[in-house]
Amino acid sequence: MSSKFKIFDPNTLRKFENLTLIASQVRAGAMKGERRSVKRGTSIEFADYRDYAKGDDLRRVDWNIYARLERPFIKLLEEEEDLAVHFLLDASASMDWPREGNRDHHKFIWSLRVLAGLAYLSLSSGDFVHITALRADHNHQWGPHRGRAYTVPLLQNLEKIYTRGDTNLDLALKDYALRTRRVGLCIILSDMMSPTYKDGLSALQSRGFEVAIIQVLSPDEVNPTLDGDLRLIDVESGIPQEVTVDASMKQLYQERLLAWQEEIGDFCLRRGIHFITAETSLPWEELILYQLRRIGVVR
Amino acid sequence: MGGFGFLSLASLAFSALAIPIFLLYMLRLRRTDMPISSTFLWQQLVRDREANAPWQRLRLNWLLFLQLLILAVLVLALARPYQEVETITRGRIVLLLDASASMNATDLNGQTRFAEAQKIALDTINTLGEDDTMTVIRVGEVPEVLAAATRDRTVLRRAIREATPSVGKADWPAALTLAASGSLGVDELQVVVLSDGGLPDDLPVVPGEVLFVKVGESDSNVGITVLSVRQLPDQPPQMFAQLENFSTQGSRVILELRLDGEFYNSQFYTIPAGDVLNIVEADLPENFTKLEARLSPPSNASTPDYLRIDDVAYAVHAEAATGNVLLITEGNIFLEELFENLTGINLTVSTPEQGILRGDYDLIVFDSWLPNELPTKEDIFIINPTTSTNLFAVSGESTDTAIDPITGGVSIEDERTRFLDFSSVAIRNFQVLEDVSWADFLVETENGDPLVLAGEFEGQQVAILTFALSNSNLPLQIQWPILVANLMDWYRPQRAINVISLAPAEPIAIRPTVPADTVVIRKPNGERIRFTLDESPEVFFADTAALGFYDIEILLDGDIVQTDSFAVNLFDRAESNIRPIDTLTLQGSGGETVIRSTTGEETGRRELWRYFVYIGLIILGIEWWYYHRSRNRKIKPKAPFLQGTESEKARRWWAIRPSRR
Repeated sequence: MSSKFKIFDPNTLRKFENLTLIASQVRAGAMKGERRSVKRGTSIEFADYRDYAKGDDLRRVDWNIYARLERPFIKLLEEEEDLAVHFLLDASASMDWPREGNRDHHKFIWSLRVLAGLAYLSLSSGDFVHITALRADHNHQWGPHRGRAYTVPLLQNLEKIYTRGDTNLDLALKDYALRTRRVGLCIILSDMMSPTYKDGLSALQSRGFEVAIIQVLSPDEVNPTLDGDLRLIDVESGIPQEVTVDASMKQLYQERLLAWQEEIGDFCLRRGIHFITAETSLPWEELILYQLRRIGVVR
Repeated sequence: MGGFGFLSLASLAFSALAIPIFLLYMLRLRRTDMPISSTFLWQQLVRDREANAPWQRLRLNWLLFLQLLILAVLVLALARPYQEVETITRGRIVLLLDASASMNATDLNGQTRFAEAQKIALDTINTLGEDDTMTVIRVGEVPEVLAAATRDRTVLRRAIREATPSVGKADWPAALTLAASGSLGVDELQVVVLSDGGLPDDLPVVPGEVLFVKVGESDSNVGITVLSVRQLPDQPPQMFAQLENFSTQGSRVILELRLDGEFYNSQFYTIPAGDVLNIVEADLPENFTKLEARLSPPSNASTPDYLRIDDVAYAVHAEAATGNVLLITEGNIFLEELFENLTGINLTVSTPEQGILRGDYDLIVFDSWLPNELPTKEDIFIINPTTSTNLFAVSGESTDTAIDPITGGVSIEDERTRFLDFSSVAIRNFQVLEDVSWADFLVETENGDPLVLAGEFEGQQVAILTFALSNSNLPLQIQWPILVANLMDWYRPQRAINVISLAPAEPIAIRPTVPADTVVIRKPNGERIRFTLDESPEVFFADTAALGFYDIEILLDGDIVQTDSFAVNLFDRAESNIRPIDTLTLQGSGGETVIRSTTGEETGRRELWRYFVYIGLIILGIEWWYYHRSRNRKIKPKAPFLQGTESEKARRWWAIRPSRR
């Protein structure tokens, strides 16, 4: 990646100001986090009563009820908690594509910008943000951090991430599910060019993660510009594939791509996973401002 | 139609080329390396476990099928397939294509015999073997080699297709001589004569085998074989025509006469089978120059007339040039007989006692007598001048009559001494003339004394014979009428041409009788041909292949000073008799050879490789088209996943969207 090229150039940074508007709508409370937890906790908002049981904290007995009914009841209060947002970015070599042409259509750069936008929203909402770049050599980690003050460190950190090697998405997700202490919303940015992904997603779900997948594809992956008798070299694995590309072959490829996306989509639908596929020719902020809000990933 | 076979069976071994074609389809192509983000989907797409092996499973492929088909067709072409067909001959062939007038007969279902001969010739070309050669000679008035000993069928076909029949007689002896000239160094020459007949009986024998192919079926034809116009002194012009029916059935015809293009007369005539009808039209009007006679069948004619070109004939009315001659003589039988027999001469005889009779004379002949004063208006011919006149002085008689035996004493290069030779003429004595510088000496003695002299004197044409006919043997010799005829031609200008009717392609000499610098000839089709008279006093014109009238204009400084016309007619009974012959007779040293008409007795091989090559080219074109069609086929582009209509987006996203938390 060229050192002169800035992922977060002034033009990109200006677009963050649009996100501020959403962030201000999302963030109603302060540091504590606004999201209502399913746990009954120590907040002041009443939820329900239940009978006292042996071993319950006596401080939580509602003595006024006890005085009136002479039976001990435990007052259940809703706990309000901050959300942990996990961003898992596929940093395999296949994300470093296309290697020429318009850099704004580069899958990894585009993914970083989307990630930065979403992370900024999360930081602004008082959520804990945890970023992990899944890479063959070692995973790059950042966070957890909370608060808008981490915006600049976030961007600085994201600019340091690079792509390398062959990532087994399935293994990487399973590993992440095992290692993470605090579960929450897990947003995965990947091209999903991997035959195995289901176990990893299941592992995340079984740990309690709410999972959203953004499949990132470049325009030439959707409409290949290849032609003739070719030996295609996979930049990630180096595995060659000989193929004669003509009009009918291109058509078959597009049908295969659509079938692949629908297969992932069907799996996600059954498992309650958000899934969206995005072409990098789409402005990244439009994905956040419009598409992700439509499917409820962003409020 | 015979069987099929191959001339080069070994070429079928080329079919082994199918193996490399198969191998090329099984062999993996050398491909261009192309990095790509992920081969994941492509791998799924290809799903070919043998993808990395050097060979792949052979699949049904239209291109392979077409290429094998092309190979099969080309191998078959290389094997030179042939079909056995009946043909006239093979080998070294000289084809004599009769282009005489009779080949214009349309007795073959409306098609001319020449067209049928062309068809037979083309069929023969189609059955030529690869090593066979053919020479094509068009036998017209002048035989013409259209293609000389070539294997190139395109050249032969073009030569035959472009040949046209003539309207004249064919020169068969010359054609056969031409054919024989091609036999030098050739072992087996085949001479094929495509003709309907009209060949002379004394044709020379040619080396090699002669094959005769008869063309034509019918003999039904009526033609004009003679047409002429003549006018005797003091009589109206007369027409003489001869119509001849060559068929075996009687025929009724209409003869139409046109004078100078204007209709004059038409009449029905019935001509019995094989008979000749002579017609004399005795009372034609005076002032016309061209007579055209045309035969046509009546509307109810039962006998067809297949040859049309002998149904029209042309004649020029040459007005008789007459002259009044006064002969003054004591009595000279040689002179009187000669002048009486000269055409166009009105002779009046007088004696010296009667002197010059009153009358309008063009020429006055004085025989051994002269008046005191010579006439000044008329032309004069003086024989044996005895007294001096203003034209000459007589200095006496001489017996020194020796004549140069080499030159014959005759002045060469003079029209008046044409065909004249005085070497055998004996003269006893002659009058020696002086003061005759105005005259040319036509005949003189070794001493230079004139025997015959002629010239113009003050507008008069004067000729003098210096000896008496009775003192010479000249009147007994042929030189006498020649001399007088030459002198008469000089006195009285003749026509520029000496014939008024020619056969097609016959040359004619045009000799202006007045001073001229240009001769223009207008052909029957209106084309004008101009000749400039430089040194030669005459023009030879041979472009007379078309029937009709030819008009001659003789010009001096752009002005027409003389006109004349002649006609070209077929007038050939051998051509008008269109009955096709069955045998051809050649006269050789070994006796007479009779050749019967032949039709396809040999078996020829018509090669078919060209057709296979054509089929191969067509399949190649189809393959090219198929290949490019499959490469350039437009596909409907798929809409990107996040683009498209709202309903499409909804179907994609919301269908896979999980329920909200």
